[in-house]
Amino acid sequence: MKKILIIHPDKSQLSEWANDLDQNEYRVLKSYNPEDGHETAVQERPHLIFMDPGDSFMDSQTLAREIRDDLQKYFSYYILMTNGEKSHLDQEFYDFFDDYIEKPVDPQMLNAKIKRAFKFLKTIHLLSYKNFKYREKIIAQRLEIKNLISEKNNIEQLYQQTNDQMKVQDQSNKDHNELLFQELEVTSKLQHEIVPKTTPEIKNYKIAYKYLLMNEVGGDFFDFYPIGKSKFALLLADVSGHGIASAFITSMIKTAMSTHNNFLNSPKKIMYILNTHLTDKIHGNFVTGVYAVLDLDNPSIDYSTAGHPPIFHYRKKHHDIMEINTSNMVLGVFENNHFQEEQVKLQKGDRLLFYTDGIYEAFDKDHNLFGFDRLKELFLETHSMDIELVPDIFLERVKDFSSDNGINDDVVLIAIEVLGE
Amino acid sequence: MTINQRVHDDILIFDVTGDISIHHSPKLSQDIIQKMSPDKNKVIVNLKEASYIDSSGIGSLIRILTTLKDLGGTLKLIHISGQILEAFTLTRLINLFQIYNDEKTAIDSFLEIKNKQNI
Repeated sequence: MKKILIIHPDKSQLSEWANDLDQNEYRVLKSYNPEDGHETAVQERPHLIFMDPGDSFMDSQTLAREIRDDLQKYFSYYILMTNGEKSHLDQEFYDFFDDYIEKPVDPQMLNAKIKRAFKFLKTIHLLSYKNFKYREKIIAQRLEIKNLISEKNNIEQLYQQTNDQMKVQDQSNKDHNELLFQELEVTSKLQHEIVPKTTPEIKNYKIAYKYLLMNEVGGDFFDFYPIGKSKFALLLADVSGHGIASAFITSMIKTAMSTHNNFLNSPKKIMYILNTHLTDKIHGNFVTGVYAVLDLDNPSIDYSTAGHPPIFHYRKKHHDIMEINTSNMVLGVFENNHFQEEQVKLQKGDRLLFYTDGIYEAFDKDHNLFGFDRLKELFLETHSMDIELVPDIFLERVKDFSSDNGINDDVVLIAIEVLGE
Repeated sequence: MTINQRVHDDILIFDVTGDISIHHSPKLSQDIIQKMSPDKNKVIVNLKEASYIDSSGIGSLIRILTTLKDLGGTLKLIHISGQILEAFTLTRLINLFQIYNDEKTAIDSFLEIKNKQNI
């Protein structure tokens, strides 16, 4: 219900006005002096306050200010009852009051003023509601901005953390790479350690060799094995692929050979041992190889090849090159109990060439392969040259042929000349 | 090297173009092996447009072959000629792989196995 407070010293007059108002619509609170009016206003928080505290405008002004001060959060409509004097209706009046009504109060005017006041209050309420909604929107936007700022700060923090982590990771990668590089260096040194470093001198033969690794580590391996005073063996192996895995497999070959050195006389047994040692352990890699035993007293060669390109045998007497090999499959893929070996007699001036595929797998600028046939022709062409120069000549010739002046794979070349009958 | 995959019934066919050398061969085995499963274990590798293979490339084919055997499947190679044929001959691996002249013969050989199984 709409509450109206009337502060007026004349009780009968106040009751008369109150009676003129619709009791169903308004609840009229009556005060007869300023103190009681002030107290009632604070307690009841009326919508509309009529005040006629006395003759002094200043007294009404003071009371209105005091009530306003106490009802800060609540908006009331203040109407001053005047005697018709209009001199105080200046700007200051409206600082304290919203309207005035002249005495004697006309009941119709009173009702009109009250209706107008409540209309105004309704407008104020609507405005304040809109203001509230607007404020809600502003608050929501401010919250959104706050969240965005918080999010931005989180992102910045995350970026900083990620950046820090990356720096740590970079350092860790650098350390890791350095470690890998050191390990690669050690592997490379070890790999060079496990192959012969000097050219063996053996009765009735002259040997020359070249060993090149494409990278720090590779998959080519060779070794020499003196067998007593009358025989000398050599092994040449090519592990598919490159890198540390291939290098590791060459070490496995070296180990298998030293463990089974009592079979060095038998090429097919050596092939069997190597195949058994590698099968199921080298995961998709395979090894091609040749193992040959030279007879130092009666020049001849017992040999076994496994998936390896043939040995070239230059026969001085016929001035031709024979390709000699056996039909064994590559090593390390499947179990095999039947390795073959063959023997070829050698004569003074004959030459043998053992090699890995890296020597003939170079391409020229037109993508032509150096190939097997060129290698064979070159061996024939160099038949009269000092055997010690032959491996170097081969490498030079392949480099000249190759478009990028390089060999793409590891290379082992072993050239042997028969000196005695 | 590029690899193009096709499917014929339940057979995976891979057309390999270019050089299968050390720089590309890991991709060959990785790409093909990742497409294989116990249900997709019939594989044909078409080498008609492949110009060259080195030992690492042959190693990749062996890896595919052994993985397929573990999956109970079969690898068949088709259109092998030139340097690739030489490399297979040299390594004596020609007998390890099932090699066919053309795609139709290779597909028919899979179907023969299937028909035998159904009988």
